Amino acid sequence: MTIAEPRPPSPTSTPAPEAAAVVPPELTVAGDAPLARQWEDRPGLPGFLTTVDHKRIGVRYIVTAFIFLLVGGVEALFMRAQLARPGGSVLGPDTYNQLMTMHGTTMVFLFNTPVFAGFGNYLVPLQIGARDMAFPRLNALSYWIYVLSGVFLYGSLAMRQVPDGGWFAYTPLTSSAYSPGKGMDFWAIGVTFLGISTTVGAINFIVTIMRMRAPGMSLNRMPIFCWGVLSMAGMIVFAVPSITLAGLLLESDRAFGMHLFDPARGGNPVLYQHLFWFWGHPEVYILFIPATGIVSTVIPTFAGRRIAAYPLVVAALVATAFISFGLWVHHMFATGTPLLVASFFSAASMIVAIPSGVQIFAWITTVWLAKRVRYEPPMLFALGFIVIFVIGGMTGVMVAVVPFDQQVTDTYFVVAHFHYVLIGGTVFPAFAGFHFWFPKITGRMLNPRLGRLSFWLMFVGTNLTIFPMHILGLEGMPRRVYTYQDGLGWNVWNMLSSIGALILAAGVVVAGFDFWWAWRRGRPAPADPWGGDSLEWGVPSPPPAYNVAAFPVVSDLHPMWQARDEGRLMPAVVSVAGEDLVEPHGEHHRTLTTSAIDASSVDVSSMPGPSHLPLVLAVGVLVLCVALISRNAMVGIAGGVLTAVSLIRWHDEGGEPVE
Amino acid sequence: MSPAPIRRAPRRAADRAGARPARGTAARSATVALLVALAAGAPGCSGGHSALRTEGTGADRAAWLGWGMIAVASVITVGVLTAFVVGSLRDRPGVEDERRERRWVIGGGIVMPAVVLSVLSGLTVATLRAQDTSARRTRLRIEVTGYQYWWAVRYPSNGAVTANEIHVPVGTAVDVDLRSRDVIHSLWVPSLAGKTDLIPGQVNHMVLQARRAGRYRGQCAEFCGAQHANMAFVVVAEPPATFDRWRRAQARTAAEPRNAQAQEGRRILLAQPCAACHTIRGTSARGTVGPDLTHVASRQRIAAGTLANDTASLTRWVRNAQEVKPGALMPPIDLTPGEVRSIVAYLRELR
Amino acid sequence: MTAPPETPPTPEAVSAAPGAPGAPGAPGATSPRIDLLPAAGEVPPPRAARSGRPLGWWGTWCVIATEGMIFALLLFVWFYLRANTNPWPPAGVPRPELVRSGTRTVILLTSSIPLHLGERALSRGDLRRFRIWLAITFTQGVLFIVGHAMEYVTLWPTFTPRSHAYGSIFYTLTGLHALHLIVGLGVLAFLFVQSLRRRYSAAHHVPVTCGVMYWHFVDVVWAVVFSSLYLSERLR
Repeated sequence: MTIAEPRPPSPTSTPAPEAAAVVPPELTVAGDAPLARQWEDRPGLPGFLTTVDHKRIGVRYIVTAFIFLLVGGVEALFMRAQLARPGGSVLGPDTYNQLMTMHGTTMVFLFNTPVFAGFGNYLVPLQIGARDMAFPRLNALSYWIYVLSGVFLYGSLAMRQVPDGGWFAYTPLTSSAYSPGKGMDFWAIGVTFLGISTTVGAINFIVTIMRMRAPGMSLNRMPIFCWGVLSMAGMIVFAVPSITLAGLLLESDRAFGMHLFDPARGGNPVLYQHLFWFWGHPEVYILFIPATGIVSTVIPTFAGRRIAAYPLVVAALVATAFISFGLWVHHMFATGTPLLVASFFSAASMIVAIPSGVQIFAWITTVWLAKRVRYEPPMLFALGFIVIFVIGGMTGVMVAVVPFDQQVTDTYFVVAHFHYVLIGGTVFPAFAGFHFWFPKITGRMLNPRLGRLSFWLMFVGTNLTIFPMHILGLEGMPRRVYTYQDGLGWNVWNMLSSIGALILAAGVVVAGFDFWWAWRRGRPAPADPWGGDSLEWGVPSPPPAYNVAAFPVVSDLHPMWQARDEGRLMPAVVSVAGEDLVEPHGEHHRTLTTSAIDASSVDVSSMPGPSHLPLVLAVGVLVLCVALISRNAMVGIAGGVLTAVSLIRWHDEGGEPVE
Repeated sequence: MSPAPIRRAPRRAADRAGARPARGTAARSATVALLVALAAGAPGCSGGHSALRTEGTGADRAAWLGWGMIAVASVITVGVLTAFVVGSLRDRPGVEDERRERRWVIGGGIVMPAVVLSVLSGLTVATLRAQDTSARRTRLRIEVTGYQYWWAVRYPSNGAVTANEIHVPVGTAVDVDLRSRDVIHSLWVPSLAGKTDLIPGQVNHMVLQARRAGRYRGQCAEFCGAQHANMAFVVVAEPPATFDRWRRAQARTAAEPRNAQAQEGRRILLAQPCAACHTIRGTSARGTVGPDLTHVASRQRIAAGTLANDTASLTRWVRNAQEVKPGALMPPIDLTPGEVRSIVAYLRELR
Repeated sequence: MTAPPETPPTPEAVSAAPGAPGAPGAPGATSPRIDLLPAAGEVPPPRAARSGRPLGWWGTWCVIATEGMIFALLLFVWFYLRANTNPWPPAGVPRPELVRSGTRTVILLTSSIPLHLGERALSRGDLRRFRIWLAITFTQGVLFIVGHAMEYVTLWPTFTPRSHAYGSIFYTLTGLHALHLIVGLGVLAFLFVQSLRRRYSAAHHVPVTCGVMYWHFVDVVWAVVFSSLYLSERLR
């Protein structure tokens, strides 16, 4: 896969007047200065393959995730075509089940999680005033593994062995007895492979956010988006092992004849469900929390005031992260859960609604107390998110009520619920983010008319597609059926839903066209087109390779607004202990690290520069996965050697932060 | 089952749902449409396939909770969104008042949901207890076993066996033992009770209690493979006397075929692979892979609710089941059209 | 993840460690260490000081958290199967023996001590002692693995991972631990070689710190695995 990188616009882009007033010119240096030369990648393909620049990696994440969104969307369109009428003949059962499995897998694993990893990658260092992530090579590694695991999962298509056991791959249906081909092997190995990427990325976020914030940016002055990414990363560290294990143990049963989930030999299929959902439920919030971080960034910007009750919103994010680990059994109320267990998990599932309530009311209060709200496309998507998410939240509480859940679980009601939560809760915020940061990332403005058009198409399309599914579920339509009979009262709703899917798709196509066009031909963007509050708006659009030449000193939650209101430049650190940071000597990438809680003491650290090792290591692990699939020992040895050698080289170069 | 009222109502609502979302307050109008649609469909329907128009104690409780929650959720949704729209549309001097912010966020985001959720949590536990109590007061036990893609039904009280049709005496709480022979399935009769999974290696239980006589459609609700979509069944609730008659009849061995073609059909069936998978009590066919056919002609539908039980459908099914349910476990069998006709004639006699 | 309380080192602590990168070239300088641009009225200038543990230390803790979760979940699998299976262990599986496995356990758990001493020697700059201690730990690790392999050889004729769920989880859990230990041995060997190449010094040895943390972690995991799979089975 080739991934387009944004072409930088002509260097004459004029910063917005208010930005110019607050951004100290020292935050950037001339293009031929030592700092710029030190941080810029080599041109062309070598630079592309070896870059560790978090901005390039972030953009790649976002572009790749968007491509997977389109792929998953096309899969959904095929399914809606099949279901538009009873007894549809567009797809056979096998194809439908493959599409259904790949749609879920693609959207959750290959679009939703990575797109926020992309935003986090791009934005976190800029928002906290750092030059890169804490472990730049690991960052490149997590991207390469992500894209290669996507290629691996879709490699099943080339081998005509597509997974068809559903995206949650319940065993024994997915055991070798009932799913003989290689399809579920692709799934089990693929999600395990991808888990490495997610985990490595999360660790990188945690260390970056804890240790590389600008001087003075104590935790209570940290942008909410960074709080969202931090909470997400913390959850990933504890949740992803569970899906890794589910995938590995499923594959052990399939490939090595183990019996962990086989009731005939003392195994237990429900155990698999526990492992799956112990990841699966936090995963919903792993997707949702960074999305709310975007919304909590966009809404205050366009309301022109700070977010209401910042400490409560942060507390809500962190609380959600914790509570989400106590809910997993609510996906299993129909498995014969004992009364006491069901009651506990029902109550816990309701409690998680409270932090969401806090956030919703914080947004309401923010717009309510604002002087004037500007309705630019990012804001529209943020508001659309709220409408859809509130409905999804309501049905979320409803499915926590066990007797009601026993009716609607595994029906289209649940399909409607989680599509409201996921489209509303993550796709709309992602699009808010696309529109909000596109000028920053590419240095070009999007067309607001196309933005509005795509918003309304997507908003109407989403509701028209998903809302009828509530009714279908209550009227008895189970999910994951490739066809249904006439005469059950489902025809109209299914038809409406399929029409809605076309409208939604049209909205995404318009947005995609908008992005593509603006990327090449858009009007140059100023540094701060929206009047944002956080540090990324203080550097040019697009930002230079080194992000900041001098490190801004932060003394407020909204540094850009503070500087604007006080009518002065932002103070910035230019040297530490005699080491000049703006005009560096030597070869190493140098950046500031600060103390974890209050970011009060600062220190200079070296970071590794561009390297081919991340790509080589990722390929090594890919070869290991291929060996598992093909059960070929020679391939396995090759992969093992490649992996081991690149790991040794990695540590030998000593590029990981030397203190 | 009288499908007419079910089908009419949604269409009326469809016009609303289809027309109004375009005007931006889609969510709210759609909520209204849902309420209208469901309310219109609610009364006067015995039997059917809906979690909101219910005729069984378990489903009644869930429907009652469901209606209550839909109402409360609609009020909250409309309230929250109105606050949003009003708040964001009006221009006013910006207010900087941290205490007010906190009050609103705590009041709306913590206190209000906490109150609503406490009530809901109490109702949930109460309903669960009621379910638990009724599970201990059952008077009849039925064993249902899930197979890829059909249901075996046994009555341990007298050894009656059937498939894809569960007969219950009306008004009686029935304990259904749920097992699976292969993968996980889920038994769901929306009008009577919530679903419970059939999991290999364990026995689950659910209670079915129909308030009124009728035919209630059910369907597998846990994805179980290629033909998950065509794994339906029907629960027939009938007066106790009728039920007893039916149960006695189902326990008998198969009737002797009365005409030559049917006799020929039996001979072919027993000679062909059919007998390796199906049981016809009273003959040498003792297979346990497919449904028991001893009284197949007494059932209303075949192939787990997929086809009507008539000569044409049976012919289609026997000739090549894969055409009807691709991926089902019944293989195509090499039979001449005459042989198929004879087998179908025999099956039609198995009343 | 549990982070130890943040103890911001005082400027004295920095100057006491000359050559620390926090103050390269200017050990003990008392002149302003940080230049601000432009002079910022009321903003207190940040202090130049060692700003805490190395980044690698933070990263390793995260790795330990996520790996620890894997073992915690595998133990959940173990206890879940044990609670739902009767009889447990299945017929024909001998009760775990304790003498040899107990000895192995002692060997592994005590291997953390020389490693700790080695790290202390390194922070005094004594590379030779560091290598000696490292070698002792390495030997203990190898002894454990050999004992482990011998146990597998004894058990394999009785049951294998394909015999039943007990076998599957037993070999998965102990095997995954052994795999971690082998990786740990690889790390120790790598550190040994690098120390021969004088890649580490009293001030620069983040990889050593991380490797040692990882080894301690693998040790602790074995303690839990041993008490769940061996001790508690015996005590029932």
